Amino acid sequence: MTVEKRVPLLHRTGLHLRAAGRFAETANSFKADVTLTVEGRSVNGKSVLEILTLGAAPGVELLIAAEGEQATEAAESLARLVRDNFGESGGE
Amino acid sequence: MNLHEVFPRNHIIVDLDARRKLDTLREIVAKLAESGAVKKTDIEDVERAVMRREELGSTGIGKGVAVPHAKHPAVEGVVGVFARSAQGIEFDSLDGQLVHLVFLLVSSPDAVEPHIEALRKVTLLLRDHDICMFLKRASTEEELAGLLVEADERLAK
Repeated sequence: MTVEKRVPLLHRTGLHLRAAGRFAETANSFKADVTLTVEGRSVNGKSVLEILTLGAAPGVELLIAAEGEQATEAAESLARLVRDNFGESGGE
Repeated sequence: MNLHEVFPRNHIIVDLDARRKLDTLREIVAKLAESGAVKKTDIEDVERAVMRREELGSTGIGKGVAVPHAKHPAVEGVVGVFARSAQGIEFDSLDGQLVHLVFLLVSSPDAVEPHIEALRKVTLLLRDHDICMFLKRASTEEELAGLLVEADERLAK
């Protein structure tokens, strides 16, 4: 079962290195495969380097898809992380 | 926005003198003053910003590459320095490996998209095994600069 969440990327510095790191770290904590899609390009959401190749700038929509045992928890946790601007106040 | 424009020939260090992380960061930032990309009076502050960012979390992204960076109003758009270390530098990288290729990015605070784009291109460059191998083996600034032009061409396809 694939669980999908669409979340706008509002973080003003976009999906930069630290944000990508937090996303991947969170994704890796779940028993689920995670795919991140931006503007039609999909990458493995557990790989920092792959996430960086998306070059996701503020304003784009992130499509988070999780599949596996903890698909729901993974998708919800990641969506929350994005909505919280990755725990960064104003970006770096 | 191209890699060879962000890392022009006079922003390339063929072999770093530095052997440790902090000295490396100092050496690469100093290159920006040498080229005039950053005023000498701003260099210390830019260096502090780069160090501060590094303290938040290592920019050693693995596979022998590091992408130290900072936002600073002393620059316009995105400027960069590309440096190599034959010996390798301990960077607390994600994969524990020594760093041999360093891509410094300093961006003006409003250059959010160009910064992300530069980071994206550096990351894509890493996936090109041929280019990475040639980058590690090249012996002059000219060769390295040429490889970045080629990398841009490949990435444009």
